[in-house]
Amino acid sequence: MKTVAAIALYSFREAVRNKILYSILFFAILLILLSVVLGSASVHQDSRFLLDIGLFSINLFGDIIAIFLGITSVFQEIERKTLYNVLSKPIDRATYFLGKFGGIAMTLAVQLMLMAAALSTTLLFRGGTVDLQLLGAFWLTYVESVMIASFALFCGSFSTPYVSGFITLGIWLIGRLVQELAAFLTKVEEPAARHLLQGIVALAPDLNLFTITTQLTYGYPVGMAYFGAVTLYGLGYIVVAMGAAIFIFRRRDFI
Amino acid sequence: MGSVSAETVVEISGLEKTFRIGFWRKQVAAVRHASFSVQRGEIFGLIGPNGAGKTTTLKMLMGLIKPDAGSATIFGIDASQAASRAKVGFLPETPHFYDYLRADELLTYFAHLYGMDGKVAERRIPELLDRVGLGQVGDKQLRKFSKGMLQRVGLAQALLPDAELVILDEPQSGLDPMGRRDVRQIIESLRDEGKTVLFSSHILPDVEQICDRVAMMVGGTVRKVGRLDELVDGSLRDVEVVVRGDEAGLAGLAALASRTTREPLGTTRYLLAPEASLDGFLQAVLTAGGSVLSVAPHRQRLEDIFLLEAARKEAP
Repeated sequence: MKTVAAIALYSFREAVRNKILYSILFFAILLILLSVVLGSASVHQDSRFLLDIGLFSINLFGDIIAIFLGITSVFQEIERKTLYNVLSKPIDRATYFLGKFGGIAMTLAVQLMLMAAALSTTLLFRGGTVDLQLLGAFWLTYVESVMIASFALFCGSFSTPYVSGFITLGIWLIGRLVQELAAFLTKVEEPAARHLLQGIVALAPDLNLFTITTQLTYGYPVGMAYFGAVTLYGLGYIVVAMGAAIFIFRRRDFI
Repeated sequence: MGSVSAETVVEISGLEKTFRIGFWRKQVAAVRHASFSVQRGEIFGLIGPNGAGKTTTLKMLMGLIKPDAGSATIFGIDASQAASRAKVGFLPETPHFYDYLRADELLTYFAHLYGMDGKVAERRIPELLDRVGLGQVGDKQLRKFSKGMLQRVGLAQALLPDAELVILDEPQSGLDPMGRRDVRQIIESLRDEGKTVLFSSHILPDVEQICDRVAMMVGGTVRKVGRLDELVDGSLRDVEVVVRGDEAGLAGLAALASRTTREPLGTTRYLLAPEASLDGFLQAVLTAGGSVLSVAPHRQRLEDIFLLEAARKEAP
């Protein structure tokens, strides 16, 4: 466990040096601030607008950062050959992989906290409130982004960043549209296509579950049980993705 | 030479690895049925030309590459197990490190990976940096280091766990003559401390100077394994005679030598076969009006065996 923590800490240190992450973070915060200007145009709706755009930005940019970190962190170590020095130590490849995942999870936590702080501060300045429901929304966004990162890590365990980025983006899109795809199922007559679609709908994570923006915007309370259930739902996907990634990574040659 | 016990530290048996390269997955056999063992306390050299399979063999030993067939064990533990590397330090060929870290930070990180006690690491890291000649720059970022300095950092991290076995892949690569000498001295000092060293190298004079035994790899196969005195018998290869004199007067001497080279400063270098009469040749020089500047016998060296094996396409 100490080894996993050490790898996670050094992975975090490496990740936070990446200028691309700061660019993404900059755009996210810029969008949150811009929503103040846009929101002020609608009478008595600025807080609601700000919340809507702010949570959307955090969610979107959090997932972009997760995909970026997931597809690059292990690949870069292979490309730069720094991996040889690490894997030649008495550590299991699973330990290394979990450490990298831990580093990504830490980086995402810091990035999301910064974005959440930007939104919360702006909300407070505009007369809005920051309550447990909003913190819960931040938490679910975090769980989603960690889950997306685990998918990216899984894809990165057997392919290049471009391919794994493309696949992860595909999973992300399906996850966003999974409810629409389920509704579309009834209209598909071709059995093979229907079975394929059924399989996709059954396996794909429903990312809409992690977004409670509508409930927050219109003041519908979300219970703690929901937060717990969705967290477990996300954890389930993370465990499966990481298990599969470690299974593949253990069999790889590092030439 | 240090004391070598009969305990086998590294055992490689029938190791094979084929890579599939390119779009058509063309098969390239990197290592073919390689077998050798390294005994405790010895310095073992793995030599061979580029593409001989040395690095692939060492990577299989370090668990970085999975063998297709055969086995590799360290201290009796299969090399695929992390536990086999507990008492092993490894320097990869041309090591790459996290360039944003300082040398001491990198070693601290690796100390964590070895599960070293924090206080032990704190004491050992400055000692090691001193030992590899980086004591004054341990607090500098690795991005500011030259290739030679990075190689020294690589050596320091290989020595970090006070390992019983140190595996070095081309440790002298990128080093200047002083650096090469330092590496040689470090390897020798490891032997004095009772450690076992397995290293690959192209620099045959160094191998000849410090190794107890060598394995010679060519084309993925181990062609020869043995003590240096078994492989290199030291027999006379030829005798080199350098002569000064009038070119026309010395013209007849070429027939007595196996090779003649005229040099710019008016000297001529003759190589005589071992069976040729040196006395007769020297007499002929004096008769032709020349003067003998030097006579040097050339004995068989590791390089001769190496070149002979490298030129031979397949193992007998």
